[in-house]
Amino acid sequence: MDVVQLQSRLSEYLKSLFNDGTLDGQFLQLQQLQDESNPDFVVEVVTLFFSDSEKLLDDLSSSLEQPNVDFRKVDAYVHQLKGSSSSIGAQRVKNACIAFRGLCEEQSIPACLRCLQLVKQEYLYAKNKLETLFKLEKQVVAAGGSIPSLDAGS
Amino acid sequence: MAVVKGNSQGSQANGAGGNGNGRSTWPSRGKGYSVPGSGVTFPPLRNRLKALVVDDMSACYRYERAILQSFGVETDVAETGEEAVEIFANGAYYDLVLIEKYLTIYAMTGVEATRRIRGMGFQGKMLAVTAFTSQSDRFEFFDAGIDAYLIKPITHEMIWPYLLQIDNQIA
Repeated sequence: MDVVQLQSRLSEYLKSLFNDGTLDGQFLQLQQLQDESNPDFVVEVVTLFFSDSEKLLDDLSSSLEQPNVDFRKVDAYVHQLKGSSSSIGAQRVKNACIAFRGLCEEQSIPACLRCLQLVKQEYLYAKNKLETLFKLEKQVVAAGGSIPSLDAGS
Repeated sequence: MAVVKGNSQGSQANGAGGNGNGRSTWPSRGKGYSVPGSGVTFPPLRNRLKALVVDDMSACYRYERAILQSFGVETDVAETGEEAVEIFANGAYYDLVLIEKYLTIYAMTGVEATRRIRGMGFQGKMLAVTAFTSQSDRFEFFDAGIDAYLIKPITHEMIWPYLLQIDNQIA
């Protein structure tokens, strides 16, 4: 596959992530902050999001397994996960956190456990998609091309 | 000892508080910031401002620091309320503080850190930057001394008015 085809595949793949709601416009903000002085900024921040999220999801699982669930703690973890996901534009994860927070207020353990599963699924889906995106970007660069930009109107 | 992550290179000033005694009068970088692809350009700040981001989510503080650095604002990070309070107790000077509510579950919250930093006499701009909003959250933060309450993620457009206000207040 030549560079132009690789770039086209990359652009289409990125568009699909916006179309299916995996990403929102915030991801474009990350791309806009990437420049010569910060050439790997997007990968860096997204990788930090992965490590933040995995710890938070473990903490959430652990909190909901306690004999006396501390919902303030659960709420705080969800708050942090929402902040982290919204900072990179992981829209579906963010939306799952918003739903989760509502359940924390109701203090229903079974509902929270179901919601936690949903958040985990959305996170793993987003992680998989973003890792594929970064692989495609590496292929373009390895073939001698540059990463095409996608503006909000595309 | 608080660990300060950031790009300030030993520029801690004498004296706590935000009355300008310890502030740096370095000139700004002399260039503004143009948001790629949007046609929006922010003019350069006249002064070299210094900010502290207080957040323990690494993706959040990395992003917020990048936004501030794109305006030429020298930006440090503290990951806990205790670190932030210690930084001020040690006499550091900042023009702006961005602070999250939840900082390492059940350690000092952002609200408490705000209250303590204000209690030390800091008069600079403090903005809550947090994931959710509720009446009680806002009330708590404003009562502690925050100047404004922003919902994550911050953007250039959201933060610019505060930077401009700070810049214009400095002679």
